[in-house]
Amino acid sequence: MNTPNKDQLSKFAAELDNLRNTVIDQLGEKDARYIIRLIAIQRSLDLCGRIAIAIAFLAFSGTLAWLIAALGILLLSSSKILDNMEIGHNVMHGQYDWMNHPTINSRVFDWDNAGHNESWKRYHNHEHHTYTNVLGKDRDFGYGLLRLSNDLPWKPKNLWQFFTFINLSALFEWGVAYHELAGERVFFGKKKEDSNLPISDQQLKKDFFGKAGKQLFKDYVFFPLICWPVALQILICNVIANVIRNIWTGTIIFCGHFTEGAHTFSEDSIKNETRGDWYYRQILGSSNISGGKFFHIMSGHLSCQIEHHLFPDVPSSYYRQLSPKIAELCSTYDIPYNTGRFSKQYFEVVKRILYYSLPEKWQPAYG
Amino acid sequence: MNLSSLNEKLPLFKGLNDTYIYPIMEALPTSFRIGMKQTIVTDVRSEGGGITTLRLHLKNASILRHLKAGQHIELGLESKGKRICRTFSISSSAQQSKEFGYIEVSFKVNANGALTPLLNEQTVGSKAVHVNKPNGNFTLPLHPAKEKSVFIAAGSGITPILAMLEEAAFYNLISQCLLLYYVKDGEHYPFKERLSALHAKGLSFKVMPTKQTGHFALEHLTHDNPTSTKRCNFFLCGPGNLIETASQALLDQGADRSQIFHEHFGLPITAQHKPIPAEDNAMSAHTVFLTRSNSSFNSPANTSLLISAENEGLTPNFGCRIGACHQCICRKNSGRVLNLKTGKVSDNGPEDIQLCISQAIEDLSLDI
Repeated sequence: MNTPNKDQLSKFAAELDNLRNTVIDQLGEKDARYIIRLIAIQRSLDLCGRIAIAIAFLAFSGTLAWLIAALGILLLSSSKILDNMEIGHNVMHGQYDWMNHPTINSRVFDWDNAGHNESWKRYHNHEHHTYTNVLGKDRDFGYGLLRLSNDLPWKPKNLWQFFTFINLSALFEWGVAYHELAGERVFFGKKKEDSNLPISDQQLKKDFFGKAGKQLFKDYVFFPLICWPVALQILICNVIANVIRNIWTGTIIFCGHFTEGAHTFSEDSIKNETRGDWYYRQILGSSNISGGKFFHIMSGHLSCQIEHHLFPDVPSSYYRQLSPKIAELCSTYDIPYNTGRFSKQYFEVVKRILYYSLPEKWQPAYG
Repeated sequence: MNLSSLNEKLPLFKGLNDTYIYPIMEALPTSFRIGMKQTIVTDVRSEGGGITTLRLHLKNASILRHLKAGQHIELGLESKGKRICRTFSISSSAQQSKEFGYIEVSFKVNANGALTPLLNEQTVGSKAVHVNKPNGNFTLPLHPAKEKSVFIAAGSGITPILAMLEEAAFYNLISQCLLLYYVKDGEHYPFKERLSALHAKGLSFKVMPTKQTGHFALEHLTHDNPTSTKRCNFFLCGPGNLIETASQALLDQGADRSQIFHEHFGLPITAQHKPIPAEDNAMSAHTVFLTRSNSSFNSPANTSLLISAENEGLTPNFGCRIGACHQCICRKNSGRVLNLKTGKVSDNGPEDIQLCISQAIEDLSLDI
């Protein structure tokens, strides 16, 4: 791969800016109705799912009850997936702030997820999106649990990191909530040298426990209790719905940054970075998953991770139509554009996790 | 018991509405919009002098229960998927509004504005205009212990005063009212008929064509009002300089601050908005009013709002400082800002802005 020179990158950046402006100029009624309708669909799914689960056990018994409950779980987990991915993630990125809507905006929107919205905005929107895959800067790279590059020192715990990965997938929202909070630092007092957080540790803890408590109360206390005689069954169903959501979201997100071709960067390499360099790094550090419209919506268009990283505040519904244009632009400038089927990308992630669980000297040749 | 009072009393009910009912209702093809009340436009008419009056019937008039003459109301309209909100003075009398369940707002159409050009005759019958609760402290004191009420209005600053005068007429206090009304043209001025009707009921009222009389001067008042300043309440509404000169003159005459009530009528109604080039305005300093803390600070040229606030010793919430993390986002009530990231100039109405990438290009009001 040839690295494009400064001149080429600045032309490349200008073309991308141009693409972005074309989209921004056409935002309107259609986009506002899209997100409003999607939220209504998601809320209806949530409501129907919860009602179906309750009715299943209150009015039926045996296998039939569990069959109806399974349908309810499917609705509830789809609702949670839509809420976290296509709605929450994108609204909290400020993609719909132009609507001047009182609830659909990055200032007040909150999601059905253990992560506190303010903490998430701080770490995800800023750290992860600005310093994507920069080792030591982007804590989303391996979430402090997985070793995905030889640039990170090997520790014995990396030997079983495949199982850590499985656990992280099932508990993804908690892993992210805890990690976004700089958990290690807040709870165990490890300090990062150049930390200049505009928020106190007390506030971070308060936010974390406040939101965590709210989530646990809602799904595991409130909804089970209002259907008292079948509280345990409802609790079980809610756990399953949350785990399904976690596995789905975790998997999509891992495929976005930890595939075989996803590059990592050193802190030194991003000094004096130009807009073109930044765009270039975002493309190298991200990977797409190909699929149909439904798949893209259910993945919050994080299946168009490259487009999302180039334009995090452009409404995600435009990523699909931007994707072929950007792929073409990349081929013109000889920049690798990493995309593939879900199975291919997921297999690469698993392979990468297994490969780097070994220290460098024990690793076989990659491939 | 109606929906809004249930909402206030039962948090669970409110949670249910906010989470499920309202978002679903908004997506249906109705005129329901989250955070605003539904209306239907029943009349649009010209008042002369370039002023238009819009009559809005409320679907649920309960928000008018506490309406007081002189208050203002926020109107919202969607244009290209974006909500445009502006505050207007209510010109209908409070009694009429409560009895018939409608309000009237009057405004000068601003050809360069985002909202007023959309409120024309074609709006009649439309359900596109939404409103918020009426608001404002520029109202008649509950117990008019003073002998006389003196109203001084300039231009479209007459609108809240008109509502107050009608309130006074309703309580048979109109003969104790004096109005000085500064207008451009002494023959054709807004609300001529309604003012004549009030005059017939006993209002002392004087039209002051500024071409002949000039702007406010104390003689204008003393000439027609032999009552001692100490025995009057004063109600001022118009541009900032009218309020400043008149208040100062009255204070010099021995009036107490508690006797003077005023409403700045700057944006959005009277402002003569020419689209000023953002570059020119970015070169000068502007004042930023903070409504919640009731303070203000100076925002110098070419400096983001976040930095200028911090330079003044304020500590707004912030994060990345480059417009990425959306943590310093706050509500702007009015005034235009330049987005330093996109180079675009905002609307002058209420909307969310990121302090770290916004620069004042005119005086602003922020909800912090």
